[in-house]
Amino acid sequence: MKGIEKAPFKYSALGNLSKVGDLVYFLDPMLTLIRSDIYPILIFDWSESDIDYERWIVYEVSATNLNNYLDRHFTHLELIHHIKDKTIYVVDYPRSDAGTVNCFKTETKFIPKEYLPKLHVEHDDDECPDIEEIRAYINNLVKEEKEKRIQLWQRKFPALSEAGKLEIAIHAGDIINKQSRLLQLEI
Amino acid sequence: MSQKYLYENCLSGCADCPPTDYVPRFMYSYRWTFEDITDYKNFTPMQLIGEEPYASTAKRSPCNSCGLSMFDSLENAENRLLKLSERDEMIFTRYGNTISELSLKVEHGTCGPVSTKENTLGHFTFHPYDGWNPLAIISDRKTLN
Repeated sequence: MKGIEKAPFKYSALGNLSKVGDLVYFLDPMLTLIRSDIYPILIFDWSESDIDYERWIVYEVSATNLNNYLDRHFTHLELIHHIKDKTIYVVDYPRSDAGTVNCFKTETKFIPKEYLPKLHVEHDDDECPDIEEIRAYINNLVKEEKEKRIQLWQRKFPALSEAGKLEIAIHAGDIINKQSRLLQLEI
Repeated sequence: MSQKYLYENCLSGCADCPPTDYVPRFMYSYRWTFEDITDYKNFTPMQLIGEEPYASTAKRSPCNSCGLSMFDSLENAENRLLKLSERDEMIFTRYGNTISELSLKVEHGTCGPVSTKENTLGHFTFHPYDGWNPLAIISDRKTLN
């Protein structure tokens, strides 16, 4: 396995995992959406195999960003650029039932480039056998995220809320955020 | 060669497996393999290798997972593997970096329908009969990287 600067992490701290669906599947899962009682969205991104283990990198993204990926506004690599807190969990699953799961915590900057998708790689419905289940799950979360943001902005900017300009202001904020991210990518 | 399937134990765990539209064929087929042709994963069904991240997750297509994935042409086999490598170039550690050409004969086993979908073009599942020896029918090999 590729060497990565990482610290041990308790696998059980990821919560009780359950599969929502595969985002990429051919013969085996390659990119899978998992939920847990702690994280509503965990992306399991297959990374590497050796004789004893299958390695997956695991990361959390927001529902809005996953939706952007599904709608092809983000490539797979851009989705990785939007990982929450730039935190990545590296999970080595043993091939044999007798083995134990090894889990580590690291940062996006330490992920080997070989694990990362090429620049142009994006979502493809034909590779995603569970697209309906995934979209239904994500749409609910996106709605919740939007409501939370509106509540936050209402608290921060009550005057805007009273003037009925809240949605426009949030939209403007999104555009500014997107522009600054693009500038960061160019740098 | 007898008509008993090589992976009978695996198949018996799935209903109607192989399906009735699986037929013996005389053809060249192409399979992803490791450079070391004696690697046990080269001709072992996915179901028996076990690569799911959670023990509790059932295989998506258990019957197919008890067979061997193949392609109808070198080009289709190569294109699919290279497309997966765009997601993660370490994919060669999972499926190998070599494409082996196998001369299948009707007495070797049964083949499923060949996919015509863009993303799985030329892919089919092969269920070998008991006694099948893949190493004896490799007619060519191409290493990709």
